[in-house]
Amino acid sequence: MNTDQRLAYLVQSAADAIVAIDLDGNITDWNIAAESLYGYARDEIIGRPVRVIVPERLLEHFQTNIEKVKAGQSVLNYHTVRVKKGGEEIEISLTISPIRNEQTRLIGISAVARNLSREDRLLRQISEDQTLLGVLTESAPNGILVVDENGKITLCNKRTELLFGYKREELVGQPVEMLIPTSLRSKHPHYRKTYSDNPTERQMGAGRDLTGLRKDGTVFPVEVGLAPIRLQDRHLVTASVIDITERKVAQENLQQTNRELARRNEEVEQFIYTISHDLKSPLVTIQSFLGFLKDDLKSGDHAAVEDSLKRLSAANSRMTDLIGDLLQLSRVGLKKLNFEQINTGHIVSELKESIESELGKDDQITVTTPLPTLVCDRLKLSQGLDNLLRNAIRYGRSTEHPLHIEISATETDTAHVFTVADNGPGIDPKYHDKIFGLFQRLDSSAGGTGVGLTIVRRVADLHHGTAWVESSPGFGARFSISISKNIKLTNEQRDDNE
Amino acid sequence: MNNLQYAQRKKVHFLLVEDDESHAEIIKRGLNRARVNNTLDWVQDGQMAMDFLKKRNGFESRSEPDLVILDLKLPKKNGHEVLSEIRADPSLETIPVVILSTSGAESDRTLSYKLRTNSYLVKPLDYDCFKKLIDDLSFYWGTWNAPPKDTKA
Repeated sequence: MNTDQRLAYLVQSAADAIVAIDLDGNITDWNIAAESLYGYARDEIIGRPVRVIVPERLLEHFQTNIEKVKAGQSVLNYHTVRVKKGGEEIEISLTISPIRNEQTRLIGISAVARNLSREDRLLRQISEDQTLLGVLTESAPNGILVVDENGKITLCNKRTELLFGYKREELVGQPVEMLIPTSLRSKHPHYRKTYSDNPTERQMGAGRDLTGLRKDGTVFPVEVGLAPIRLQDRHLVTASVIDITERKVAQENLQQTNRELARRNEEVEQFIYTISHDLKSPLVTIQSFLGFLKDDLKSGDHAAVEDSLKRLSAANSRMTDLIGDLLQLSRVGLKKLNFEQINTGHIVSELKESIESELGKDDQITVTTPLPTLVCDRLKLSQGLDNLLRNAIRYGRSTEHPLHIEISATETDTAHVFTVADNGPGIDPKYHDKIFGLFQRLDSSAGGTGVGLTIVRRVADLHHGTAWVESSPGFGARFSISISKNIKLTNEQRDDNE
Repeated sequence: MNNLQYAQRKKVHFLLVEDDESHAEIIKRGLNRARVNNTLDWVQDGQMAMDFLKKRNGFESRSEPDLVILDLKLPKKNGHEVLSEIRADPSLETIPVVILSTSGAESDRTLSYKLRTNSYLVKPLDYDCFKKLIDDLSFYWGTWNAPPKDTKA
């Protein structure tokens, strides 16, 4: 047997399907394995174009490969699909390479194929799945990390880099604790241990507010989903991290709005209650004394008539005051805030001037410190201070000495504080909070309506501050209102566009 | 009226807790013309009402009232606070208390009854009604109503 014969047998008996085509694409050789793989007998396929066994959709791809081979390359072991006789498609692993003669001239193309084994198919599936998972993970909107049983990061995605500001190579191999704020870091290994004792798919830190630490040291709120991965000899955990900064802000805004709404609602209810109660009270007086007046006129009791008239007039003024103060209070809440740079010294001198007529001969109002220039709503701060001054005049009088009111301003890190102090009878500490409530009065004979301090507190609220009193009986009262330094100027540009 | 069999006590003693001076005057005048013989003590805020009932801070020598007529909207200590303090105090808990308020709000009425008021009256706007209310109130509590305890002679 000569070499040519041996080679022919070798090809003929090879376990792989071997097909040769000429440069025009027509089949010139077809071994036994090819007969069983493709279903065509040698005799019926020789001379026919190899396209017969290529699915139409892959023809273009097939042609590209042929061109590569014609150019001298081989295409090795690629997975593709062919059509058997009868139309059934089969998956194969194919190597195509040039056939050259003794002069190394290209005379044809060989195609060696084998049916893809189950393992081959699985391996291919796995490789495709890996690609898919890679793309999914990389494009996920969450930071995804895989952490091993020692707490070391073994894998992370692009989003993790963006969230925490580290490059992947700075993270992989490092303890996951590097992404946790230092104050909470020491507890984390314990939490990891608890989790690995009972690994389930769940949210991290039920009920706790979680935060992440960026490379630049900033801290941000996160939500973390955990899931265990059990491999044969490794117990890993995936952590899926979401930055919830925006959600938190939105939540806080919502809560703030809710609190504000609840407060407003309560006030509206108080208003309605008041109209039914406090406004009715002078009406009861008016109606009854009109009755007494009639009786007194009949009996000709002149002194009684005068007394009744006095009471009618007082009830009438009280009604007027109540309505006026209620309107003032509602205006504090209703009118739009306009924060501007204000010299509070000007406000106070205006107020002093307008209130001077209500002072007795020996009474005096003194400004004891320089008054600041600050950002506030001019009208509202003025209304607040006006109420404090009127309050001091109404309730701060003592029978023992002339009224002396001192106005001063101090400063803390975060706020300006204005204080109006009187030398009157003072207020028992147990009433210090109560008196800021709507229509709360400690002394009904002094003629106030119980609205003033509610207005003062409201003005403080509007300036992110508070209002309070320091006093003890016999030592006068010091009422203060604080105005936050954090108040931003009202943007006039924006107002114009509205 | 003469043939009615009612037991008029010698003099009925009222404690009026009312911050509005004109309202107090209306009630006083009403009681002056009332069918029953009565005496009236008047205090202007909730703190004074408690001092009166507890016989302290200047009220040491006052006598026990047969009925407390209590306004709700009061300085320092409101009517509900006074009522709950009375009911929580073993020496005062049985004293009859009638709320007399301008407020007819359900929340005020419900809370008053929860705090065990004996009656709740809304101040009438009408002059004649107010007069009649005071007369009826004093008559009812001064005659038909049996007191919790025998008054010490």
